[in-house]
Amino acid sequence: MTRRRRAGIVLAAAAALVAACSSNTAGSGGNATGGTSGTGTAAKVKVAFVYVGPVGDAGWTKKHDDGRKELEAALGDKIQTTFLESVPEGAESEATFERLAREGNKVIFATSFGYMDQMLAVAAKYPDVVFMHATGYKTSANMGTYFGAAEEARYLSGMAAGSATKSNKLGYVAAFPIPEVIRGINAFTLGAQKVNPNVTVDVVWTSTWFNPTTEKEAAQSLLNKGIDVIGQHQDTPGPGEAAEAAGAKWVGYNDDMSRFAPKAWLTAPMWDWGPLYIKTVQDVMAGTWKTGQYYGTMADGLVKLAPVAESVPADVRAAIEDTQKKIISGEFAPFTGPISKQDGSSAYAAGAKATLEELLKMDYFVKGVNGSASGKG
Amino acid sequence: MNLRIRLERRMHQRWWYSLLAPTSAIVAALCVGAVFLAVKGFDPVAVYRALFEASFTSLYGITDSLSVATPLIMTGLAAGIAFRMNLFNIGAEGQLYAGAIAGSWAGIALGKNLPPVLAVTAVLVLSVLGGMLFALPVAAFKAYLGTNEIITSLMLTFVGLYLMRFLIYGSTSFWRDPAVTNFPQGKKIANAAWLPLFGSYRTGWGLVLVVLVAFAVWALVKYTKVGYDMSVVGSSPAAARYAGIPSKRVVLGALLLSGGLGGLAGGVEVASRAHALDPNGLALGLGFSGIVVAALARYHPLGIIVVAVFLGGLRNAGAALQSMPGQRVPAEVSLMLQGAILLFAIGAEIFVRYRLHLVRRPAVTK
Amino acid sequence: MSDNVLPGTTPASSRGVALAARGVTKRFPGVLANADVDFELLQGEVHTLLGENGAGKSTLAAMLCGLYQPDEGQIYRSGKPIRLRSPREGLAHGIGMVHQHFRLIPRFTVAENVILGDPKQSLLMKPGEAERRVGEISERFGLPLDPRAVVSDLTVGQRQRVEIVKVLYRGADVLLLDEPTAVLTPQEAETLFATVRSMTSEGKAVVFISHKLGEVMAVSDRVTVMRAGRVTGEVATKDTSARNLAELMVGRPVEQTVRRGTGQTSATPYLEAHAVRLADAGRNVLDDVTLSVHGGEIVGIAGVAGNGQRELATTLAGITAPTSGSVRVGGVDIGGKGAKAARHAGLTFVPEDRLGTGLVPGLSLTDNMLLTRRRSFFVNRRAARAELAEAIERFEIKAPGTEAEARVLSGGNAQKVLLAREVSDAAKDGDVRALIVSSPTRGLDIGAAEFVRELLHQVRVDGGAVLVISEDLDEVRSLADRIVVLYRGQIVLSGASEELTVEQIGMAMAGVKE
Repeated sequence: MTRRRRAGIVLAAAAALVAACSSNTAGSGGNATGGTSGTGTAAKVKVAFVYVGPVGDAGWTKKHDDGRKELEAALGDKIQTTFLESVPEGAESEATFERLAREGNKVIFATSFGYMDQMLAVAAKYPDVVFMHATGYKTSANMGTYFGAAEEARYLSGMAAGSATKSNKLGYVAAFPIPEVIRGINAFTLGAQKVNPNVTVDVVWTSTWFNPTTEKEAAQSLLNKGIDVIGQHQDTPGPGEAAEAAGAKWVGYNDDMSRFAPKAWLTAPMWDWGPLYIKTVQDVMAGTWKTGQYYGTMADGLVKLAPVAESVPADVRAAIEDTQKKIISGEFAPFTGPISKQDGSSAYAAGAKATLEELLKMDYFVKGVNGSASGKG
Repeated sequence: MNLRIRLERRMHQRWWYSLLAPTSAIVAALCVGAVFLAVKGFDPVAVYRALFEASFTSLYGITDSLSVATPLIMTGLAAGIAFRMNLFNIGAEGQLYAGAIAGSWAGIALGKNLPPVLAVTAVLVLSVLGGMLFALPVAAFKAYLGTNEIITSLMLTFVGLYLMRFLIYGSTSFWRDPAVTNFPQGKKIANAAWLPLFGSYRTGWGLVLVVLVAFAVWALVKYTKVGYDMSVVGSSPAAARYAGIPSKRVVLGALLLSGGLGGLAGGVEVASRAHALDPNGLALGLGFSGIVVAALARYHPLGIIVVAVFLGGLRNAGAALQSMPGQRVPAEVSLMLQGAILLFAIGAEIFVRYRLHLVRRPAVTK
Repeated sequence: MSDNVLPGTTPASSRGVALAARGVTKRFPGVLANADVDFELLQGEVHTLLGENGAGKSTLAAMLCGLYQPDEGQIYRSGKPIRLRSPREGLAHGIGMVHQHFRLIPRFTVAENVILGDPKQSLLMKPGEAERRVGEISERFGLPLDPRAVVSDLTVGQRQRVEIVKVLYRGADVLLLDEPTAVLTPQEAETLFATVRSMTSEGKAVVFISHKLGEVMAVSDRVTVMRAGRVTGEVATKDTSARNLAELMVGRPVEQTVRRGTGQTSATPYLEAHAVRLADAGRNVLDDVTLSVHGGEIVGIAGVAGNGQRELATTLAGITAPTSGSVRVGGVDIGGKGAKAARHAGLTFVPEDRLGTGLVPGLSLTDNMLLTRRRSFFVNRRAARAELAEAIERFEIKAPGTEAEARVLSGGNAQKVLLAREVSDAAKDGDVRALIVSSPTRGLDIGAAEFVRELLHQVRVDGGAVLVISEDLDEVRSLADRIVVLYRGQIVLSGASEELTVEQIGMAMAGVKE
């Protein structure tokens, strides 16, 4: 059963700014007030994490838990963290958030889209607790959101893929037809076309976030068509295993998953949540935390590219390195014109850059992608 | 020497055996759980105390447990009414989805134009009809073609799940909220169609409703011709034929009733908690858990209330166990306890029906 | 303990004791099934265990063959104490039981059934070898069988032979036959007795379990009579009489009464079947059956089990729709219209299968009283409970209470509850009263059977029409004014009881046309 619900942010930067300003008056967290416990020991700030799946040994939840560990390492005795695994999304999660608030947690991170309404409801009841929701779009005085520009790293991973194909046919095992996934596919395609203008990318939708079998089978269906490099948006190494068995190449997601398919492995977009978690908790402790919609980038260190495999030619690796530097410096953005849509019409004229708002609403494929951006077929 | 176990059917089943079975099942499961916890390095007493305190001591804990118990009572009734007739409708899960689909349609389409009482009624009635409609193939195939209802109801569960997902994720259906573009979500039902909660607690009139339904089912089974006919058909089809009870119609009716109760579970979920067709938040396995509830309650409608509250508490405590200071108990443990209880409940059933004899026999009989 | 020849035994005891039980006691929850039972089987003799249902004879037999273990006491084989933990161990000691209910696989051949489960049989079956030995055994003991025949094609009598061959094949020289004649025609029973004699002439010993006095007298050398778990007597057949045995069995003098109607019958029949045909899987289970039962008479249907009796009962009761022909109760056509229509017309029905069809085992006795009654939306149990309480008193029904589950009842008490419901129902409905009773006294002890016969007689005297369907020919003859014999779904013989001889009826039951 699919578990993960994530989405980009819908509000424009201006709206976020308004929200951020209004939150100033609300006054948040406060500086380690020690909660309600009557013990005399130096009160630690309690921080809780709510995960949709088990931590496991790779993938989305694992990266969040790595971030939690970074937080513990950085702030040590001053904090105490709790994490809850496999908390179902939807109505039943509300009790979980309320329990965490009542147990004296001062910051609560939730890492899946489907917690949004429940978290918002509990946030309204506990104005002294800071709620941070990954991938959502609803905010309040004490609830903010966070996510990041994975498309930057996806563009770079596309470059590796474009150089690795012999058939000039790439495939992409896609999760759900939503802007987050669509812009990932587009970025991957644009990156691939950068090093190899002839490539096409075939998309197959699985409607899953975590289902090894389905995703492996989807990858297999692509490989059967003569495709020799597979990209993906789900949390499992299933597509990689299929690629490994078929002697094809593979771009993973979330984490360095090279051990699952060492021969197929090229690279993967990755997350590093640690710095954000540290900064958020520090801000709350200092009383300077403000609500808002955080969209992290490679420049922030939130988004990263996993080490690129040796099988990728040195010149391509150098080009990837170079492009990454330009992205970080702001000199280059993946969605920079000229970009044509799938049907040949122009999306961006030469030199024009996509705005954040446009990226967050992207609902079309660029030229070179085979498949339907509305999820059909 | 090896030991052989011999079962002899009990001639007399005393009434308290039927209480003994689930109680001993729960105690035995907790004991096994305790051993497991101890092996894993936890203090079982502390864990069970935390579990109990989290779910049954504070008003918040109790109301949250009741909130989880509410759909379990309904799905328990859905399973129970069929199972006591030896009709194994294991599709309450799918019927819940169907009820949620129909109920949320009513909540969205009709809710905004109706006063609250009618709007809620519309959601609930439609959800019952949705569940019944979804159980209709199971019921008709079973009654008239003798098709195995276990298979049809299970298959339809997947149909229901994928239909619900399709309506929200796979299409721009009536149920999908067009205002949210970044991730597909269900449209919220009108406020008038919400089953109100008690103050700031998460339980409310939905619980009252399902308890009333449980009593109604109990009265139906115990005091009416319908219930009588169902008992006869369930325990002896030959006797039903002999007595002129129309077995096919009774089977059809019982499975439709079961489906309707499953559908109502979905309607109550939508009206009191989900407030939208939420393919994720509704797919919690509530229908399957209802089978456990019904089995532990030995299909007794009022027993189902008690068992559902107990299992609801167990489920609700999962989060509390994970955040126990010093002893983080994985979520799987509370799930494991549920599974163990079911296993022991089935085992205990044998002890109620049969006497156990240990017979020694030599290893070699030549 | 060595061979311990009891005083007073016949000179035949010099042949040696094949199997014995001394001081055997067996308890079941709430029941003392066997209390300090002594039993002795000599080599080469037929020794009957006689007793009513529940007297403990089946329990004793079960302990002798290894199915149960005694709580106290000891079993001896050829003088040596043995402990049997399973029927397989019993067979290892040469003791085999032929059960009343056959344990054969219908789709297998005779030979395959015989070698199935034989511990000496190797994994690789050798059908040829088995067929040869089965043929040998069946010839030696007068058990004609085709080893290659498929069991589902065999008659009941032939299947019983397979069971006997099975036990002989495993080398048993002590055979226990549990109510072997219950399913046989008188002629088939005669054949069986001949087989038994040929076995004993070869030195095998046979325990014959029965409650039918006539055949006990005919087949056995000695008889051990049991009542209420205890042995009440052990006699040589030549020194006793059927009446004497019946007294030992029941504990008081018994008279087998023959009851007849007054001869005054209703002008029109209450129950009629006209040219009823019932086809099942291309075969006529009932073939052109025409019969009528008038008020004030009992008509008995005789026949060997499986000749259409069950179908006749359900068809006449309106439950099974005839393929062609008509069924009328009081002139109203009820054929295939369901049990309710038939009841409405004045017919009640006591089925052969009491617990499971006539009564619902899992429901309370009170609820069972309601089974064939008209029920309003809210079930009214008060009247049913009162009626049941009255029946319990009047019929001396032994039940833990009105709310006990029907499954706890013994066969006799179940039959009484069933009759209480159906007979009182019949008495309340208008003019037409027709009652169909299948196997009215099967499995009942002598006292209960007498009670049931008297009750049916009373229904007749009161002007009701009664159709009795029974495989027990003695019963049919003692009750019915007219007898109809059913063979393969056809009426092959019909006439007044007085005018038909046992031989005539027996031939008709076997399908032999005069």
